[in-house]
Amino acid sequence: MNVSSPAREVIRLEGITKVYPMGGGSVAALRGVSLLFLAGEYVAIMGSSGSGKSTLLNLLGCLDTPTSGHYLLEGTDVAGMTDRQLSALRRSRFGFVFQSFNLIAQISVLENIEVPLFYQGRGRRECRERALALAAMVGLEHRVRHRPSELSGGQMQRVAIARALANDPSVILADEPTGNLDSKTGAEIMTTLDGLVEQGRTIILVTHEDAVAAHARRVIHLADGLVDRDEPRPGPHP
Amino acid sequence: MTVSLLKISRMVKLGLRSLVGHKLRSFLTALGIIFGVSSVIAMLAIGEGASFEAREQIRAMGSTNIIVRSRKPDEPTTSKDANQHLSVYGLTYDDALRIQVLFPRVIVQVPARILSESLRRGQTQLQARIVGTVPWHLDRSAAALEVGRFLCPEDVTDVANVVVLGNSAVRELFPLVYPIGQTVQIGSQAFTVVGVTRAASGPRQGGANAPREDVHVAYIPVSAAVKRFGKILVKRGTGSFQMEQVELHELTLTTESNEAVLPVAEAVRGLLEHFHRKKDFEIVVPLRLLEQAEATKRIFNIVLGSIAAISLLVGGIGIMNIMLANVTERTREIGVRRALGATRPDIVLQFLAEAVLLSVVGGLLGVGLGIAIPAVVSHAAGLRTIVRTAFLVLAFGISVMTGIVFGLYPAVRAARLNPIDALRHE
Repeated sequence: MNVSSPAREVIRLEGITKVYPMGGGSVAALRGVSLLFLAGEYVAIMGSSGSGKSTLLNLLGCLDTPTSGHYLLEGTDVAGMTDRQLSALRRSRFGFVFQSFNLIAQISVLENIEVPLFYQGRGRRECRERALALAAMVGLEHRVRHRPSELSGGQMQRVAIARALANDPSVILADEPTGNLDSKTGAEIMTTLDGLVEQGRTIILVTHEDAVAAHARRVIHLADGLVDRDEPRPGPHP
Repeated sequence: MTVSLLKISRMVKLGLRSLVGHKLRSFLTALGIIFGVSSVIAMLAIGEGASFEAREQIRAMGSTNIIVRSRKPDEPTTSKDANQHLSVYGLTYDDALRIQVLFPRVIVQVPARILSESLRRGQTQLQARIVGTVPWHLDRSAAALEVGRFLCPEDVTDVANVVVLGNSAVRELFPLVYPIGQTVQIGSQAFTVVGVTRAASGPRQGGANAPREDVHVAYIPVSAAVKRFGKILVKRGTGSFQMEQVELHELTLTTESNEAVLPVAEAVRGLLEHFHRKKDFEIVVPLRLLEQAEATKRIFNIVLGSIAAISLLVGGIGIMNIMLANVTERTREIGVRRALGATRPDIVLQFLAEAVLLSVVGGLLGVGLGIAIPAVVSHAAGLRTIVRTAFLVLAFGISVMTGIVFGLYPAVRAARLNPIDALRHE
């Protein structure tokens, strides 16, 4: 259908568990998850609250480390990496889009988009040019001097997407990207994300809305810390 | 990735932005540092001014000098003879002579005894300065020997009636005769001329003992001056006469070095105690006073330093407090930055830069205030104050250190945050 040649493997999870200490005992958020993600995949992770979907996304984004199991990112095991190495992965491989946008309030739209570039150590002019290009790409070139609080929710999420793209990541991780938006704006954001897949990026998003999951080509259902169903979503894509 | 200049400049900008964003809060926080730094400088400046004055006064006495003074002994005054009492005490010229003989390398300065007697030969009479002095006087005066000899120790011990004349007096008294061996009258006493001096050319040594060229001068042994011309000093007390006989009020001993001062002072004390039954002298060692002054200054500095440390500690705690609040307030931002690739050192740097900026700005304002306060104190209280550059550098350096020390913990705490927890923070 969409992948004719054998696609490159981006992420391989093998028997991932995540246990949080809680009070006296502990809570297992993930109880042995094994998954494979290929380059250019568009994946939605669904599941009820507490199913472990956010934990999984955080682990995928190297924001957290698994309790056991193997996480191979393009063949490299992430499990034993130091904080510094994980930071380096986050700033080179991943782009994050959050439900609550998570823009930094004190700085302008343009500066928000520049943040990942700054941590990559790019020069000032390069940062500015790239951030301006990205702002234009999400249609906000006329709002770059504004503070995030002066934008609408949809605009803020578009800034967040521009920021997620700043370091040209291979994987975009989105946690309920439309959760705080009305359905019309949410649909616009999803269209923007759809466009990113066409650029060859892998998108993994967490959602509980079927309408959002409908954009993906593969849906993984988690239940109680395990993969319940992992199925391709056939049919036409918007 | 290492910490680059670009990164630091970005962090400083970010920090500035955050500080400007909370102007009042930043100012109040910096206030602690401002007062800390300015009080350190002001206290140091006032202390330095005071100790400088003290040291100057002591130094004026000479650090290689030992001053020996006559002192009225503490003796029980019986009411019977309290009204009319002749007390004989104090240093004698013999003491001076003994010290000079026993310590040849010490310069014993004896205040010359100046008599206002006339100098007469035959019909010629001159008003002259008759100086009762010691043999080594000539070495330290501006005068030089022309012919004959100067006074010798035996002249003093023998109380010899010998005189050394200045050449201007010689011209007046002996216009035609070779003066050595001749006799002149000083008051009612006959003195034999043994030498002639002339005023040395070149710059004169100052001081009360130096002869003035415009006056005729004659030197006689100090013992002769005392013996022949009286030495009883009558003091008129309240309703009573008190007669004191003091041969020599003060002796100044100049040693060759600071190291020699204390041993020589002790030896002189031993020598004098041997010859003085009563404790009728005192020995003042300016060097020891200087050392005491330095010790006092050290204590003063420790006290000042403690006060300064406390005030800067308070300022530092202010910084720490506000930075901890800052970190809590911006936990979410920290999470976002970590998600976007910031390393822990990046986060430390960001918050540390802010804390250090606070202390730098506070420190600079404090330096300004610290220069102004001593000036005002000098003007208002008339106290001498000395602001040294070192004080400014020290106070500013300490304030920056304070910023680093007290900013480090909040910054490290910010960086220690788990990215996930930070992101979830409400």
